[in-house]
Amino acid sequence: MSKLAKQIGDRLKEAGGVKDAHEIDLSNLGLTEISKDTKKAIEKAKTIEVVILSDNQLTSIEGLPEWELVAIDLSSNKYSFFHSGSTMLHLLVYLASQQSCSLIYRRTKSIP
Amino acid sequence: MQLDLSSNQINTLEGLTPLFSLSLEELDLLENPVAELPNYRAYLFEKYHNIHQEFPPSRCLTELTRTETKFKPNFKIWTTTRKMRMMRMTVNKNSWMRTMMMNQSLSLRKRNDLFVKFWQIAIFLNKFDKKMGNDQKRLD
Repeated sequence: MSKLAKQIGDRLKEAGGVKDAHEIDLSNLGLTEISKDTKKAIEKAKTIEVVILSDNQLTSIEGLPEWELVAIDLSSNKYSFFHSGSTMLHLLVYLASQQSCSLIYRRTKSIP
Repeated sequence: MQLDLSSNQINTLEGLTPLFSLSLEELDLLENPVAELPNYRAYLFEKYHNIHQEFPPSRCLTELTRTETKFKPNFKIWTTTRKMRMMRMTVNKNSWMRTMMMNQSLSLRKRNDLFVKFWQIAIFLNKFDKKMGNDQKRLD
């Protein structure tokens, strides 16, 4: 098992374990991409709603499992200008695919 | 959905356009090069308001908050200071606090109040640790 996979495993444990974790903290792991190893390590958790990917070197989140997210923290990464074919495109496609679940979330949560 | 894209490298207003097609509950674009452009706030506000009238930017955009008027909204700019940003980063490292911060049933103002309280507690604990000779840094 790689060092990164072990770190991710530890963080999943801290968050309540693979079965119960509702958020996953992948900050400060030096990620430059969601690699196959990373994806393999995180996709076991099926109930993730909040993903923290802050303080990495990400230019794309391609490879992130299709969770029903309510929040995603991509602060302090390397996302840049949007244009066709850019790295931000995948983020937007990913988020657009989450809109249906966020609409359901909005209906069930009252916002003052 | 909440999306935090702060401290990235988005540098043009056009680069924000695709974000407006998303029904985001909260969007944080602080500390991107685009946030330094003179028309940034007006552009962001206008575009987001035009598209998501049912979901006003006062709730969606971290930097903007709405004053009282209901039908003719009068918006004022609320600038998040670097200190607030640092506080937020500190809170981000604390799992239970972060979960509370992301609780949509709390207003932005309430969540910011919680940031402040958490920060005060962290300062107190830091002083206490120093006094007791504990070198663990809580405010990194």
